[in-house]
Amino acid sequence: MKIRCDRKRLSDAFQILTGIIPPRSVKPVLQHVKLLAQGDTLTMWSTDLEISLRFRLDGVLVEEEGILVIPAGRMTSILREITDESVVLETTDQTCQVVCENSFFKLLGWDPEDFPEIPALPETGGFDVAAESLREMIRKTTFAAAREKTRYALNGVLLHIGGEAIEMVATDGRRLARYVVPVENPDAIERRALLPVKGLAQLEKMIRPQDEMVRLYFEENMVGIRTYAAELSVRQVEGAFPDFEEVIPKSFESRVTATAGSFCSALRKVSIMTSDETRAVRIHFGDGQAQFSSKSTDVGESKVAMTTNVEGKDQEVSFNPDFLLEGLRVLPDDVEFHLDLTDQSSPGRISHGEGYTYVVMPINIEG
Amino acid sequence: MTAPARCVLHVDMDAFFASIEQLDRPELRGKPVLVGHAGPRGVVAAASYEARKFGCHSAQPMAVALRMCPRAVVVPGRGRRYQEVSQRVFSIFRDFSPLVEPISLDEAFLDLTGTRELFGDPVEAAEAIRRRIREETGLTASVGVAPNKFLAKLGSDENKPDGITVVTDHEIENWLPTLSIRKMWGVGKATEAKLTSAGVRTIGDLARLGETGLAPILGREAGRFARLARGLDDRAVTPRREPKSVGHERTFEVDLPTPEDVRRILLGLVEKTARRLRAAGMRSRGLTLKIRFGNYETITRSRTFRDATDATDELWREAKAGFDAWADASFRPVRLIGVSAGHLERADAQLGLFPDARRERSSAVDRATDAIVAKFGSGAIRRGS
Repeated sequence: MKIRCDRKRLSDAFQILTGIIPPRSVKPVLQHVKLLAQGDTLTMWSTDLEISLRFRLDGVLVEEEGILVIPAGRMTSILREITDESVVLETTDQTCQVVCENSFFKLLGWDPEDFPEIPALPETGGFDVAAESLREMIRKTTFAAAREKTRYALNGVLLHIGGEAIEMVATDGRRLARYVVPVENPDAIERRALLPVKGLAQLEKMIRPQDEMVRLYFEENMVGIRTYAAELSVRQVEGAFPDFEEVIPKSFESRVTATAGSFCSALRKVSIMTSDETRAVRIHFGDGQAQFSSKSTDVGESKVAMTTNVEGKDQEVSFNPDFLLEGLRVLPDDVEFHLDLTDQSSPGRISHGEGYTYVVMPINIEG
Repeated sequence: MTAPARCVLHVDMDAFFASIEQLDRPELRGKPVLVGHAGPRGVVAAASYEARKFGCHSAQPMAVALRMCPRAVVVPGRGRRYQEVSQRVFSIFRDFSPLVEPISLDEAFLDLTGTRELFGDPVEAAEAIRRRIREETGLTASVGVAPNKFLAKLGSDENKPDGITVVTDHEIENWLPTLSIRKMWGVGKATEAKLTSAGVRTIGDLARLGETGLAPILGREAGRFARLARGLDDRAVTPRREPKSVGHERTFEVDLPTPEDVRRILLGLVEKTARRLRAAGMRSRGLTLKIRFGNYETITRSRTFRDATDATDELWREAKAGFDAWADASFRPVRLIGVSAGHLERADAQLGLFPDARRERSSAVDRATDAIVAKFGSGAIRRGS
C-alpha cells in the first residue's frame, strides 16, 4: 500500500479514531487503527469492541491499494508533531513508513487478520435527525448520567424516538436531565435504546460542520450513527431504564424565574464555604429574593442574596450546589430559566424553552 | 514553665471501667477488680490498679488473670453506664477545646494550641481538666502535655495513675531516648522482634540509627519511625474521627459444633452491627467475617458489594452468603465468630428520585426494630433466620 494524503485531514481523522481506543487493553490489536486504501478513498477503523468507528477520507492519492494496521497512539503523535502539508504512507509487509520532507518514521504494524471485523451499517433504512439537534441533546443530558457503577442502566443515556419527537434522558438516580427535539416522523417509528456516555461523547466529537443531518440505525443490540464521513456503532447498555416520566413533577407550589448566569454565580459563591462532607446549599425563596446560605462545622459559613422573581409560596430547600450548577451550566448565561418547587423534600424542576427539563432532588434538611 | 508552640494533651482515664465499678460499688474499692466475663473463655476488659499489681491487664484471657490474682472480683461489664460517664468526661474536654479527637471511650487528644488566651498556660488547663473530671465524675485521669500527639501519649502513660507529665525539650532530650521501643505506636510483636534482633531496644537506639539505618529493618516505615524517635510528629488532632469499621464478635464457652448454631449467633451480630451503622449514620460496602477455631487458628472471609447499605436484610444476606460458602466446603467447630462492616460511607442525606421499593420496605422495618430495641433492649425483638 502506498498513499499520499493531506496531513491535516489525516491528523484530524486519527484524533477522532483514537478517541475510543482504551489506554490499556488486554488485546493489543485494539490499540491500532486499521487502514484500507482503495480507489481514491482511505477508510479507517478503530474499536474497543463496545464502540466501533469507521472513518472515510476521500481525495486521497492511492498509488498502491492495500490494508495496514498501525499503532494508533504513535501515529497520532507523528501526525500532530510534523508540519508538512502532505504525508506519504508506504508499507512493506507489516511495517509502515511515514515519509515527510524532513522526517522519516518506520512503525511496526499488526497482522490485519487479527483486527476485529466491524460490520458496515446498512445502506437502507435509518432515521434522519438534524446533526445540531443531536449534538445539543448530548450536551444537555449526558452530564447527568451515573458515573459510578451503581445501577448499570443509569450509566446509559436513553435515546427515544416516538411521536413527533426525539429525546435523550440521563439520570444518576438523584437528578435527571431531559432534552426533547421535535422531528418529522412520517412512519411513526418508535425506538428506545440505552447508549453509553463514552459512545455519545465520541458522537459529539464526530459531528462536523458539514454534517447537516445524521442518520440513526437501530439494531438488536447496537445503534449505528452515520455522518458524512464516519460511521459509529455503539453497543447498547443492558438493563431497564427507570420510569422517568413518573418522577418528573407536573405540578408545583412555587415558580422561581432567574437568569442562569447570575444564579450560578450566587451558587458558586455560597458553595465556597461547603465541604465535601456537607455539600449542601440552603436556599430561601420569597419576597422577590433568593437567599443562599451554607454552613459547615469545619469550614465556616456563607450567605449570598440575589433578587429573583418568586411566584406562589415561599420555599426553603437544600440542594447539592454541584447538581444545580451542572444543570444550569448547559444554558447560556443570559437566558432566563424556571425553577419549580413544591416543598423541601420534593424534586425541583429546572426548565428552559420547550426542550430542556432538569429534575433534581433536594438534600434532606432534617438530616 | 513555658508551653511549647503547639500544645497537645493526651487524656487517659485511669482503669476506666474498673474505676467506674469501684465508684458505683464502694465494697469493691481497694480490691482487685476484673471487668469482663467470668467464663472459661472470657477476656479482661479492664483491670483495677489493685489487680494490675498482680500482672493482670486488659485483653488478657480471664483464666490467666485469675491465675495471677485468684482473689480478684470479676464483674460483668456495663457498656451503657461506661458510655454515659464517657459522655460526661468528653463534655468537659469540649469546654477546653473544640479540637477533641476521641480514641476510645476513655481516651482522647485535645489540641490546646489556640486556647492559651482563654485558659492560660496549658499545664494549668490540664490540671483544671483533671480537677473537673475528679469533681464531676469521681474518677481520675492521667494527662500528657506535649508539642505533639506522639509525645502527649507517651507522657500520659508516664505518671499513671492520676498523674501529669509535661514533655518539653528537656524531656525530649533526656527522657524520650530512654523509653523502650515497645512504648511506640505501631510497634507490635513483629516489629519489636525485628528491631530487637538488630540491637534496637530504646527510642534512643532508633534515633541513632536514623532513617537510613532503619530502612533495611523497617522498609517504608523507616522515615516515620526515625522522626518519631526524635520526638517529631505533625499529625493533626482531628475532631470527628470517622470509624473505619463497625462490628461485633462473640466467643463461645464450648466450640459451636454445627453451622446452624453459628449462623444463629451470626444473625444476632449482624443485627447489632447494622443497628450501630444506622445509629452512626453510616453505610457499609463490605463485610468481613472472622472465624476462630478451638486451636486459635483464625480465618477471615470478606465480601464487598456494589451499593453501600445500612439495611439489616442486605447485610445479613451478604454475611450469610460468605459464611455458607465457607461452611458448605469446610465447616469445623467454631470458637469465635465475628462480623465487621467496613468500607464505610456517610449515609447520604441526598434524596433519591426513584424509590427503591425493596429498600424502602426494609428500611421501614429497620427503623421500627431500632425503636423497639432502643426502648426495650435487644432481647425484645429478633428476626427469624
